[in-house]
Amino acid sequence: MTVVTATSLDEALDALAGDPSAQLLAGGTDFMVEVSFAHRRPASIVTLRRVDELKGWWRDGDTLVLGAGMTYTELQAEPFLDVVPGLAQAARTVGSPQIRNAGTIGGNIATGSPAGDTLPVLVALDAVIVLQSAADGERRVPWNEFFLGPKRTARRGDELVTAVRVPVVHGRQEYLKVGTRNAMVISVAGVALVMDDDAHTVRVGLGSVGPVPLRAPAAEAFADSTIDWATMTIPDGGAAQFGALVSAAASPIDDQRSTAAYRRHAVGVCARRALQRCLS
Amino acid sequence: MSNDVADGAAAVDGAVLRTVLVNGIAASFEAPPATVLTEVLREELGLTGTKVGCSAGDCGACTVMIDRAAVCACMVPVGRLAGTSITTVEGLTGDELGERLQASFLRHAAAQCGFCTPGVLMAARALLGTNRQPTRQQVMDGLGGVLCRCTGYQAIIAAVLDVDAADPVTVRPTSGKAVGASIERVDGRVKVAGTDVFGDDDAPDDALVIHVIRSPFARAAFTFCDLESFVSENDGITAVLTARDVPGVNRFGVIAPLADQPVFAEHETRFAGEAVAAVVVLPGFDFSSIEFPVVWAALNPLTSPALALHPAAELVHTDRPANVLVEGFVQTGDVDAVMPSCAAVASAEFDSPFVEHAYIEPEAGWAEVIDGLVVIHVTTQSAYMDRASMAEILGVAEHRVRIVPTAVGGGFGGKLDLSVQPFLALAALRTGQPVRITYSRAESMASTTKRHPSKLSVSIGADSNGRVTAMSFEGVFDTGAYASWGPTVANRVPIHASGPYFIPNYRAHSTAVHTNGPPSGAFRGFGVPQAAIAQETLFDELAGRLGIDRLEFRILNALTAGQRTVTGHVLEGGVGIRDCLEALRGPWADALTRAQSLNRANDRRHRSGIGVAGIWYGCGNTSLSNPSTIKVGVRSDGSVVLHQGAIDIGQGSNTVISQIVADAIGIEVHRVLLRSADTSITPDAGKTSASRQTYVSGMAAYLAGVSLRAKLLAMLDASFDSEFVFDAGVLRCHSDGVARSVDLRRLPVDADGFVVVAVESYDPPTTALDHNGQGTPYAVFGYGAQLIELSVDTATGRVQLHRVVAAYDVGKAINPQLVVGQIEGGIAQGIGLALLEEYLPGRTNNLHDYLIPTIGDVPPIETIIVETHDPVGPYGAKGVGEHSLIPTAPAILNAIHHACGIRIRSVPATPTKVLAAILKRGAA
Ligand SMILES: Cc1cc2nc3c(=O)[nH]c(=O)nc-3n(C[C@H](O)[C@H](O)[C@H](O)COP(=O)(O)OP(=O)(O)OC[C@H]3O[C@@H](n4cnc5c(N)ncnc54)[C@H](O)[C@@H]3O)c2cc1C
Ligand code: FES
Ligand code: FES
Repeated sequence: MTVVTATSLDEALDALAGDPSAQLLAGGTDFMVEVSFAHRRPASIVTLRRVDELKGWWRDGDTLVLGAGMTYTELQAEPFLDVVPGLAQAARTVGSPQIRNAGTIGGNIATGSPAGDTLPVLVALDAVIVLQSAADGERRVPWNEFFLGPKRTARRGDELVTAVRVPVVHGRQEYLKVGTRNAMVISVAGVALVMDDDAHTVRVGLGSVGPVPLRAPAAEAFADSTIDWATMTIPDGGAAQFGALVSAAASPIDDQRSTAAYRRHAVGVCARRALQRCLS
Repeated sequence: MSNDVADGAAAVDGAVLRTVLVNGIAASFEAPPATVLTEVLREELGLTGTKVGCSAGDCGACTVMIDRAAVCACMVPVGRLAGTSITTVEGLTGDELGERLQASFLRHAAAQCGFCTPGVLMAARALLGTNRQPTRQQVMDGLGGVLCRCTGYQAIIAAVLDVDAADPVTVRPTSGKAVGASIERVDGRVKVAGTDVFGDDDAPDDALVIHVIRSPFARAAFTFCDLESFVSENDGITAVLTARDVPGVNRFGVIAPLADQPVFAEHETRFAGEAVAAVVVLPGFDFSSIEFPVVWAALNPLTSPALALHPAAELVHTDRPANVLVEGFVQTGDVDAVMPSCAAVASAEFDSPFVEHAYIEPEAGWAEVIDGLVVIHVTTQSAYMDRASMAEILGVAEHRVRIVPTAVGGGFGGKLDLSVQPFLALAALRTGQPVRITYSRAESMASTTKRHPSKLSVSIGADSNGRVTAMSFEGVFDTGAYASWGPTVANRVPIHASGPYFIPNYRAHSTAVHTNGPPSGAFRGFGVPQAAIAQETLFDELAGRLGIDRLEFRILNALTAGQRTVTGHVLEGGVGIRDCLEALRGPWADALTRAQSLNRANDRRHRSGIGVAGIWYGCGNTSLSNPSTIKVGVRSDGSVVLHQGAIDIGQGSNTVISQIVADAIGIEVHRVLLRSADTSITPDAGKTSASRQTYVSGMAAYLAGVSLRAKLLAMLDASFDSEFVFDAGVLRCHSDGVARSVDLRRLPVDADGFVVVAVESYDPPTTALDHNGQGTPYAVFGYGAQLIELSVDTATGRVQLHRVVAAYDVGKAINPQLVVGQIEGGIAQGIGLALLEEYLPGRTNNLHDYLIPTIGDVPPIETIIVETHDPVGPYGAKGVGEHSLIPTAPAILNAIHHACGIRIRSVPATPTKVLAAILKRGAA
């Protein structure tokens, strides 16, 4: 087993160019489980923790650029609570303090699990994933071209996820998830809701109810046109109908954590509540 | 590219020398970069305080601080450590805040078995580092990533909140006053220091490592290929063991006549996870990429009792017709005559799944052979039973085997059966070298016993005054592939299924059925928790139909002294169920008002409800002899040493037995020096199960203490109520105004180093049950009742618990703080049974698919200790270990019904099930 401890972006990209089958190790919260259980015996590993270019964040005009190496502990605090509150809320629901201290948003994106908690927020924000390789330099891929299936993404073996770009949106955001217990809980259904008070739009991202994180276009269109944006209210029954449209957009499955019927129902409930909170 | 070897840059498959800062000291070791930190801390640096419970981030037992932030050391590759500073539990010593935390944990008895404790302490220390005065909620958030299976978390929360206690009190009772005092656990300090020695903590460095090969199929035939060349062609492999290598009988079982479980399967495996072979390898050898030469042929398994009971079903054991292991039966009065005339009858069917003990410490141990004596250091609940089984398996006399129990990181019944012991002994004998084994979490979950899945069909009838007059109970228990404790469950359930109530006409029948599931064994309550769910929820239905308050209905029917139980046993005294239920009257009225006002205030989506359930539970084995022997002696220097073989699995027997013996002798408890269980030192105090240690071993300790006192005073020629002191090596007393003394240093010393010694045994007075189950199955019962307040989110089916009030009759609380700890821990497991836990063989062999309660899932618990003196137990005491778990699930189900009108009869009541029931009710 070869392990390369990259200390710069170029080192990491060179290592990947040399061996595109190399596995990347960021916080290790997904990766090390697989190594410990010998599901994966990678021949070579490139570790990313010491790549400074992946850490931190910056503003690019109206866009927030979040480095792939940012941890949940960083994301759940200021300034993100103000700037992307939905993402901060999602980060706060991940695992435990131990997991949040280690796990990164880049790892959540690259793993591409349908239950990944940041993903519904990212899709609701129309995030763009930034990839980079030694051969082709930077490549920006919109979320809907990036997530291809359960734990399948458009990332090539020689590419690194370097950052994710999300717009700074003026308006309220919510992330709600349902799980079976009160801490350390993997989402059985999750909803991110982003209100754009300037554009008068609502966008929802859904987690754990499909092979990839989903949007609910019909529900969004309904909300855009039904909300009274002057008073920030919705007519009676509007939130419920919004929830029903979100349920209809889901395509969940049965597994040992829950049933498809439950997930479909719960995602609608979360959506309705998220909307009600944003309008309260 | 950085090629700096010291910080673990490019390194090919090699162990490189690294230096990291651990607890402020630079520590050097060699390891490949993907090695996890837990491995390095424990194996290279000898810092075994950091525990491993899952290797997957799920349990938090491995929590350490890296640069002051809590992380799971099991997920940290050492390659990333350069330039960081690591703090482990060992590093709390000398850290002012760390030591305060440890002291607070001791004061609050926040460590029971102590296996989670290092992780909890480190998570708490990290939290306090950023938030010096956290709120209760912040403590719960900060500690959400560490699982504790013993405490129910309340003592942990209290300990963290109380870290700055101004003037902490130490309880130090004077002589004769230990019983009833909440003294600190006698084994507490090592637990908070992280220095207690568990199964995986002290194997010699050169010990060979055992890997067990297990069946991936519920039922399979198998053949080995060439095992000899497998060994000779792999350099790191020392030996392979299979059924052929078992010198004695390849069978074990906790109930000797029914012993049926092979150490290694012989032709066919009967459950997924059953062992077929063991491979012994050199320390450090990477076995994970080795392909073991076995060919499997999957066979059709029997996956449920319904399939197994089908007349055409194949037999799991050819000598057990119809796949029935045993049946249990209790009958009194005439149910069939009375039931039809009842004013109200409630009937229903219930079911429950396999439930996993999920102690945080996986099975582990090590063994060596010294002069022909096989010495096995192992995490176990039953040293003497282990020794007897091992002697059979090895084909040697019992004195050739010594079991040295390590500290036990939780057991709950799951460490009563053999696990690693046979592999250790066989490998040590074969290789002549020390050997070790530690189960992975997956292996532990797949191969050890479970709570019996149940299918119950129950009817209960009452007259118009609300008196229960008839009950019938039919229960089928999935006992899995092997007998284990199946007979105990089948026998205990019919006796207990009435609950702690007077029911004159009663018939209960149970059947333990073999399937190709994991062996079902002992798990806190031996089947009674499942039965209580049926009886206590049907009691609610009856009360509802008769228009009687649910608590008053129970009080009306509660057993009282002088009444006959369903086995015809007339309890002379110590029947505390009515006292427990009456103690809940005040909290019940308050809770009812609270629920009603919440339901008025809340949106209709969140409904509040309350529920209650009562229990009784017989302490000790059912109608069988189960003696305990305790030895206590005085050495020539006047020190008093207790040889106490009641294994402390966290419940506190080391402490409680010390308290009892101290008062019986008449000395201060902190003068008692303890030798814990070891088959070469301590006499047999039976197994730690059936809530028997405080009662049975406690009685033996009491008798031994009294006997020692009598001997000492006889030597002084003083009367029994005289006071005496040890003045270094001289025993002195003033009696009748005369000063008397005996110089202990002049007395002959026995093999244990004693100059005076007392050994006493106690066996509960029980009788066999007749063909109708009539007789005296237990000498002592304990009683309890729980009240639960909760709310149901009717849109998601999520149940939130708000508060538990538990009233328990323990006869006499020898150590009230430990009693509270047992109750809180039992309630947490009851919550798991009610809401979360379902073990699916082959699918939930980890702690992220098999969910146990976290700190966020256990609400505040208020305990009311009721002391209805027992005429039999030591100082009037009864057991409480299992009693604590039993009422929680039915009380929760009753509260769910009260909240939103649905009856869940299949646990766990997951959001999925609760919501489905709510939607169904709405549609109806
Ligand atoms: C106990 C526990 C609880 C958890 N709870 C939750 C939860 O509640 N919600 C949730 O969403 N997740 C949860 N997770 C999963 C996990 O924490 C997240 O998916 C995390 O974001 C992974 O990040 P990481 O940095 O640890 O990734 P790693 O484990 O280091 O890597 C994961 C994968 O991503 C790839 N990768 C990482 N970084 C990059 C990059 N920059 N470019 C390309 N590929 C990359 C790696 O090659 C690897 O395949 C939990 C995990 C555990 C162990
Ligand atoms: S051992 Fe690390 S989290 Fe369980
Ligand atoms: S004390 Fe927490 S697991 Fe035993």
